[in-house]
Amino acid sequence: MRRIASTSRIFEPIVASSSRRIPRVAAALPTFNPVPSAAARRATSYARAYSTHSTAPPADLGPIPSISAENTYDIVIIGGGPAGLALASALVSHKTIRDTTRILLLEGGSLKPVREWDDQGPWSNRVSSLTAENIEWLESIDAWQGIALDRSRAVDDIIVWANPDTNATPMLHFPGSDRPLARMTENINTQRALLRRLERAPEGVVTVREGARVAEMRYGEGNGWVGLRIGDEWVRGSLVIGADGPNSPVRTFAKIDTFGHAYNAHGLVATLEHRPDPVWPNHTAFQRFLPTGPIAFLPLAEDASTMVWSTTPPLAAALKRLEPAALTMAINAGFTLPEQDLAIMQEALLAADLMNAPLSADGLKGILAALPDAQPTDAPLPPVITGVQPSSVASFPLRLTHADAYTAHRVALVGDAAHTTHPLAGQGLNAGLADARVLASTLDKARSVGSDVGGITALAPYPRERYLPNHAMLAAVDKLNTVFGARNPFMNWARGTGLEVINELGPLKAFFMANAGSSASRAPRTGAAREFGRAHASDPLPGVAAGLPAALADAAEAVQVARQVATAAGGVLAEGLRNALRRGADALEKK
Amino acid sequence: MSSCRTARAATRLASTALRPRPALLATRTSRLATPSSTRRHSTQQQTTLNTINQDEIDHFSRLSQHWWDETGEFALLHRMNPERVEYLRQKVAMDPHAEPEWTFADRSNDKRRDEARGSGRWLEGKRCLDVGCGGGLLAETLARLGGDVVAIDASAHNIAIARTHASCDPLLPFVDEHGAGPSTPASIPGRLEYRHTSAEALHAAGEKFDVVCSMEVLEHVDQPGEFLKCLGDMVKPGGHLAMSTISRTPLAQLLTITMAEDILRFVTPGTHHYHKYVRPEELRRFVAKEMGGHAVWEANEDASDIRVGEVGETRGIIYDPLGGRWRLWPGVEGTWAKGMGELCNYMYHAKKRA
Repeated sequence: MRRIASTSRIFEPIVASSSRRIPRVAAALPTFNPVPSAAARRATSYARAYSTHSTAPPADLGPIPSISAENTYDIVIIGGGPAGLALASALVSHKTIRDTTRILLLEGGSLKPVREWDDQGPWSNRVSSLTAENIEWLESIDAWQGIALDRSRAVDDIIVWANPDTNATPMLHFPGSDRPLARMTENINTQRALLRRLERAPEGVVTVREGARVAEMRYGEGNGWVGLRIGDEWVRGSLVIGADGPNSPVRTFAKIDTFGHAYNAHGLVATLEHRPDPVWPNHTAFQRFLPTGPIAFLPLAEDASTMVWSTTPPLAAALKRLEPAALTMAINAGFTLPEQDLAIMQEALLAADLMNAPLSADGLKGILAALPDAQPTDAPLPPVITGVQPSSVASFPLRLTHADAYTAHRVALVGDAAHTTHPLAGQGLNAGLADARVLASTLDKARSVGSDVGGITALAPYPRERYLPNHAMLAAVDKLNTVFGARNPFMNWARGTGLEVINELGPLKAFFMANAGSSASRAPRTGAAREFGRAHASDPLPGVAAGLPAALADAAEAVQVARQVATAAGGVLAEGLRNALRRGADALEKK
Repeated sequence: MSSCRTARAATRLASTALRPRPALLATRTSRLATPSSTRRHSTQQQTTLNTINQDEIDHFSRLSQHWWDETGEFALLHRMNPERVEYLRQKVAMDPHAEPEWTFADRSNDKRRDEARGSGRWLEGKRCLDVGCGGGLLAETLARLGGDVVAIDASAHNIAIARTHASCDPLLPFVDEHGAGPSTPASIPGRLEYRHTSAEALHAAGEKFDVVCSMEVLEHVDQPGEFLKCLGDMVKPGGHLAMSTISRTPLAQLLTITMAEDILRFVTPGTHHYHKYVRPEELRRFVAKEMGGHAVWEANEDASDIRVGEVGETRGIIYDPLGGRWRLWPGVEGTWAKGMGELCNYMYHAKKRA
């Protein structure tokens, strides 16, 4: 009666978990014995029994040894990626947290490359676009000052197009204002800035442990804490935050399910080299939607950019195996060739790859030369690339995943552990940063009123604020992918018209920009910026339009614009009708 | 203030809010109705449980294992806790009477100083009493904020649950029934101690506290007047008395009894009794007339007790079902809008003169 029985669960965080291994054995058995013998059936049932058993606590699971006060933390963050580091930095920027809370950050690998990154050398292929809102937030938590700015490229314009028909290039152009729409920043740059922010925090607030793989996680006595075994040592925390990526072991531990689907696509990334353009500085991001998925050109420097080419897994594999010169050619073709020519090139690539003889540069040149002469397209094209950094070529599968819940008893999820998305809108990390911001302020509020930070009630505002915006973002990106990937006459027409309408209608475009170029929710302005109302004269007036009033004002403006368009269209129609009548009358008169 | 008016007020309070149910008259509690008998028996544990209703003790003992189920019987109470501690923070940590004197030399630090006052462990060094702690929902938060907390409850079951729960949290400075602890490192201030006793017994033992809280208890005791006097006496000079309770209005009947108990079953039927509810103005007038008035208690900084014969501040606290949280009701004292917020649940606070 005095002691509540402890519920315990075990998990293995690394790829080869027992629950995954066992079913594979069971599934493999029938192929060896087409008619399963009794022994095989026994083996199968044994395997099943074992696999179900592995989720229940085995009998030999010993009690958790007593854990010292030094190893007792309030908050344990698992994962030293951008989301985990951002969360830790956000937490230490809150005074109450700084004064009262002990935080442990566990990273399975080493943070040495991050710490010692010298903002020189080749570009990393893990690059994210950071939206203006998130940059403002990073400034407000004193993290942005650690960014190597010459390795973070401002994106002033975004150009998006899809041209199934070479004669028409419906295009969407998001023009820049006085501040960049986003900044292309290497993840390692962001991570280093955040790590430096943590190192500036007062002694003893955040402990960072590297090479600390969590081997086991269990609820402690009375569910009053969560114990984590690192090697032979146990640590515990009132709250465990999973910032541990798409295959989050913390999510598994908390028995939070996910839903979503795999896009039948891989993202191929590479660092591109090109000549600096004397006329157009490299501050424009380009994205072309192909039937197989979007190909994006994202600026890094005057003479370097990065690419994300989302395409079918076989094609991504084939591209990856090309020699650099051939890949350069293929990428240039990906941005410039009409879709039907591109299809011919892709088939040739796939066929050669299937024969295990990837096309050489000369072979590809021959194929491209044999294509019918392409008509000059009116699409705005990115610079012609001259080379690819071979070591930067990599690919990864694309998935839409959303956790059913962001919190459980003593557990919270942020970033990729909670959601993964298609990279076409560059929202993955931005949503993760917004998660970190909201979770940190939720925990700060909980702490200032003495709540148990692991309690469901204390954590409730976090999913309340983040779940729906994230869900809307995931869904919107998913729909965009479908709409832009579809190739049939009706969709082509609808998409083309839609793009042109959006491009012409200012308020509608502003709405899309707010959702495409920026994070789903707005970070609060910093105190410094709020001091005199606005930081810059061109900033929107504070307090004038926000929330519902802003939405209403936008709606009113949209109605006005629509009315103007309708009036103009009506004028044209009326004029046409009048002309037709006059002509008819003339014709009658002539008779 | 004439003694006549004082007596009348007391009678009114007693006749409206404190009237015990006829069925309870036969129990021991009703026999200990007069203050004199309270004092006389206060040294004996058994007879000092005087303002406590035995039925209520039994009721909450039956529910005691649900205290820490954040989605169960006490879910609404769990959600209310942050907001009532926030109220306490505004009153105790941000107390305008305790504000450091403003100096011209220090003018640039205003913002930082304000931030520092209401942050961190703002109860550090303060002796707090939680009367009717139940499972320890409030007591644990006070201890986490650095308070030296004594939490009492009349139900032994509740105390047992509270002790068990606190002992499972390694970061709580918990002291067990044998006085052992706290086992937390010295860097974590505070102290949390649960006692199975009554406010009257504690009062008789001469204990004094910086902060006396009694959340959602007033509507469960038999003689709220005696109970209040006892709490008021235990507040140190310069200390705070904070309470939350439910007003006796048709809206409260509808929300807390008809809806929450009978229809939606958020709360076990029988938890609340309409006739035991206390109205905010009754509470303020009682403190003014029976507990020393403004001679003992500070006038409110915002002059919200500007009307004569009332002490302390009441503030509505309402549940926002869309936000899933409770909210403190804003408004200026004496206005219709502020009164609307206090039609159901409300907070009460008064500060004793130093």
